[in-house]
Amino acid sequence: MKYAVAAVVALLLGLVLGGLGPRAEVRALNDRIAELEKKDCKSGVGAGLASMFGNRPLLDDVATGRRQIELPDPPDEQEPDEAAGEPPEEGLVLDFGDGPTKVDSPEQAKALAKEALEIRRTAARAALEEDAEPDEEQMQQFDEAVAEMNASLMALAEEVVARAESGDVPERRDMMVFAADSLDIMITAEDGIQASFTEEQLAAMEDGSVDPFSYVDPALVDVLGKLDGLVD
Amino acid sequence: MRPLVDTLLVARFEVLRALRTWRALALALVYLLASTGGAWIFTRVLLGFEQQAAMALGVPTTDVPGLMIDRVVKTDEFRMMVAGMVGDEQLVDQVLALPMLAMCHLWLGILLVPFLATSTAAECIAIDMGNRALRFELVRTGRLELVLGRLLGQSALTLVATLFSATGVFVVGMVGMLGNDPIELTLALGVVSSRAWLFGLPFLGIGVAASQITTSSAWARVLALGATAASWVVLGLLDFFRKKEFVPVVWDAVSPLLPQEWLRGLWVGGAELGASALVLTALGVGFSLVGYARMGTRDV
Repeated sequence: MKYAVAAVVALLLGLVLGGLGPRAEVRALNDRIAELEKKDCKSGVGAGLASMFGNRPLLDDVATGRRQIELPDPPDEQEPDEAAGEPPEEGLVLDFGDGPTKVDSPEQAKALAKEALEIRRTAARAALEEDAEPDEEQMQQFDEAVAEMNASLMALAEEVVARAESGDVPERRDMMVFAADSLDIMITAEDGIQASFTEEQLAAMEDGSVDPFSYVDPALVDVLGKLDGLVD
Repeated sequence: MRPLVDTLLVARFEVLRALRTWRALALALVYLLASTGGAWIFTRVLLGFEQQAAMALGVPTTDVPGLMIDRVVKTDEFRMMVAGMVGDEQLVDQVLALPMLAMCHLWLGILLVPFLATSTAAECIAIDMGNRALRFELVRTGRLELVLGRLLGQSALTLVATLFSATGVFVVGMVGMLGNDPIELTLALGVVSSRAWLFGLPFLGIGVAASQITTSSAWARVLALGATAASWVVLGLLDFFRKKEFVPVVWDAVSPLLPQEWLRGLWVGGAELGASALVLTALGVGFSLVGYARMGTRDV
């Protein structure tokens, strides 16, 4: 038992004494990192390039700061975008509650839109189940109404995309008809959703839970995304 | 071999005595209440974050958290909170790989287990020394075996209590949250409970040391709790001095002896966990031997 105790004491002593050097080294390196982080980030490329011509005393001296070269004053600094009289260029910025996200490509924008629709759909359904406590039959009726809505929206979107792909560019009136048809589908879905629940349940639910827009299938984004480049 | 057998026998006796006197049950209940309460509060905090995210997205809010965890963990506010809990921004991603309640259970364990462990361990020798019952035990075994046996017994009790406390957290996870996989949560809680117990070992050692110094259990408990609280104060002070680049040598010498310096391994697991476990165990034994300096020579 005494050997075990001696081993423990030796281990602890080893930790204290043996670690002194490495810890001091780590501390010194950390201090060095902190010191470097405080400094402005300056490129040493210029001096490095100059020192490549090592046998040329003039450039060597410039690189080491022993000789000064006088240069003409630079022109007044001016923002390039301001000079051109145009606003600075910015990418599309979306914010889904976790801070602004810069969107660099249409694919990223689609992915974010799909994610937002999916979250919205999941959250709305969970809130509905929590507030209304529906039975299985009611949920089945609700699911049927939502499925029918999404199937109709998908068919409508595919029709528009097929027309655009065939070269028949939709006119303003076509787009208005598309919007009206979409609204018809949503109204039908709204009626279907409302009919699935009792008055008491509807009163207990948040508006977003019975909003058919909360249950739009994210796959619709993919279909409508095909219009990119086909329609101005 | 005989000293090892004696140590195990003393440990067994310590556990059986705790069961007989209901002390073990009381200990387990205290751990259970503290952990369950902490987990419940954490779910309310999580719900607040989720409702904030839901409002930002314009979606309906829920009364039960867990549905929007994936969204919440991406928010800067939540990540800052986790970084504050863990004490290291670089560990946030690794820590968030754990189920939320397991992360909370480990964090709460790191705060609670030391105080509960040291408080109970402070009684393990002082009472018997105060009423002189210790003399009859010492007829049959050595003092060192008795001290280490009591430490081992207390460790076993704390392990059982810590694991038992996870059951309350599991219930909160299943009833008060959505989306928790029962098997994954059970396994994660088992793992983090063991890690919280490992962190409690040095503080058990402090309790056992205090228990050898005085014959008054109340005074021993005050000493043990004071030393435990002081370890956090010392950590803060040394950290402050380190930032001021003052007394660095003292920091280098003392920091390995602070259990809090070995927390990183408990959060990240793997090889670092092995190193932390070894050192924390050694610290537990080492701290209890500090009291043995007095116990080994005193007239019992």
